[in-house]
Amino acid sequence: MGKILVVDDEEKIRYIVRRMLEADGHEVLEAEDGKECLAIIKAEKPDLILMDVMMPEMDGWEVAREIKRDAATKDVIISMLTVISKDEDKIKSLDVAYADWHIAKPIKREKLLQTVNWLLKKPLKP
Amino acid sequence: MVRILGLTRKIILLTLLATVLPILIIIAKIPSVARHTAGHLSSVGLSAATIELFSGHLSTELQSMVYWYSLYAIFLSFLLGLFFAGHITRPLRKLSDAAGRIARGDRSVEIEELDVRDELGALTNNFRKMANELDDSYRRIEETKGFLDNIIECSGDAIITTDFDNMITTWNKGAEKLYGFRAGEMIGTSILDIYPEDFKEKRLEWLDDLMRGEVIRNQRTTIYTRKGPVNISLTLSTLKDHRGNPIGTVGVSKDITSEVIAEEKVKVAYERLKELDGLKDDFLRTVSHELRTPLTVIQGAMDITLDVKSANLTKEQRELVELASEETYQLNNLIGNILDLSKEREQLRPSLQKHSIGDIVSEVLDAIKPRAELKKLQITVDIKADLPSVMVDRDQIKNAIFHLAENSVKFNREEGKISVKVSHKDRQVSISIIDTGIGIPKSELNKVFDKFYRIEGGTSRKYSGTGLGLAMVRRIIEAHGGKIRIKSTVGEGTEFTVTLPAEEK
Repeated sequence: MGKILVVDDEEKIRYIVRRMLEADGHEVLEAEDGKECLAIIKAEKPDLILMDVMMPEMDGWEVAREIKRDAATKDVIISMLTVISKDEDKIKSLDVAYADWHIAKPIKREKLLQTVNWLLKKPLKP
Repeated sequence: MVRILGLTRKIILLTLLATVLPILIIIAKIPSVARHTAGHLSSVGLSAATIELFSGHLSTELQSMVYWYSLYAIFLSFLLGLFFAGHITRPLRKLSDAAGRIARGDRSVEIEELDVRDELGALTNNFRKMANELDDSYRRIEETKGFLDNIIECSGDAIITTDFDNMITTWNKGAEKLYGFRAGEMIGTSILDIYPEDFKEKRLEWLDDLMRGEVIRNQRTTIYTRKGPVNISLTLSTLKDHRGNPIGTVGVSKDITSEVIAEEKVKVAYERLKELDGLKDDFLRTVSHELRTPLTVIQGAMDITLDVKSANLTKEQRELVELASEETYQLNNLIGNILDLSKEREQLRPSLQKHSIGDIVSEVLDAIKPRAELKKLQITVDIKADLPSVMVDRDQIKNAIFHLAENSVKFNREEGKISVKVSHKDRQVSISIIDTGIGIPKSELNKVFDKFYRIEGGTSRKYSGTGLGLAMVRRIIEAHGGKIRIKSTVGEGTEFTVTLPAEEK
């Protein structure tokens, strides 16, 4: 099981995701924006970050890019979490923001847990 | 055989007559003179030999007779010649007069038909025919000219010709109507006087182009006429004489005021529409985002409730929550579709650059691999070495291939196979993606690239998406000058092949 940071400006979403993950035995941390996220990563060293894209100020892609650019944090696995499900966005998540994965909302509990567990099992990018 | 014509025959006959007649008269007179002389000499008892002695005398008498009769013959010839000359010259003079009149443009000349079957008759009749033909041609030319003049005059467009010194040479009714000036006022004045400022400078350039035989088309401007400002579209071409030498310009100006106003209106309406469209897209995006958050929460909450470990539900409760959860998921998808639709119209303008198609495909496969692993799919990749590069918009092509690869995962069975091949042939690269998925019925094959196509019946609920995907893929591929083909067997799988033009190596 892993330490997972959920970044979303919607408190209710964070709550739901936390409940789903905790029920599966994961440790869950929360951040409500990019700034808080960056601070928590440094302090807590999570295994996986689930990052919303549409957030005020810094969007999720920018935050992801920041994390991947920093040598100290670049090994953290990031999956974007977004309502936008166009292919361009998936590609942007993987290519431009260097995130490792992309989960489209609506979030299905079963699918989320399956993906999260698989993401934690092995590193995706060399 | 030499055919002797009537007139020649006449000349020969008359000449013969003029010469032979006096000779015949002389010959006819000789015996009587001889007899008279001989008789006179014999009467004095002289022998024939003696007569010979008088031959000198006789010869003198003969000579004077020949002399007189020759004079008579010459006189006769002269008279005949005079008559004959008159006979020939009279019709010739007539012809000459007629020709003169025709040359001066008199086309009412009537030439009577000669009922004479000699050269003169032929000449007259041929001349007559020629004059008639000339008259006919004239009439035809005049008819055509009248017809053309009529077209020019009746044309609603202003047709103005000028010489190369910019002097107006013709000014039709259309021009009178458009500008409000009569032809009489304008012909002989400079065209530049009525040109708007912006055209005055351009005319010099245009004249250069016109001299090279080019046509200046649809130049738009606003002119100020007696009736006020009018929007016109001017087309200028070179006016040539009958030998093809340029002698001036022909300008056709069309009043396009109403078109310009209509265009203006359309432009304003279009801008407004675009603005509204943007607003609508923003609205949709906001609404769907705002709607999605609570829906995600609702659905998540129900999912957690359904979670076996934490729930303590009766069978009926479980069924109801499951139903609610499933419907929420559908509602969420629906909102996703609306969102995708609002983005669909975004234009595809490829920015082409040289790329390696092998690299693009590899990157797509890297991105898709985890998803395939979730379904335990086996991917075999065959990317040929030494592939030519392609001129493509990397993001768009990657997007398109990503979509096809994603479909091959989405519609595949658990533990199925995906085979990806990249090769090249005849300056084309082709990318094939073959899956072992559900397949597409033959009757549906030609529809899969339509917008909003989704597999019929029950499957549509199982596989989410708007159905825009393949339509978009095809648009991208075709925008790159490529082609996309599909082969499929229900229950066995589907093969998509994309071909793209390759760069020269």
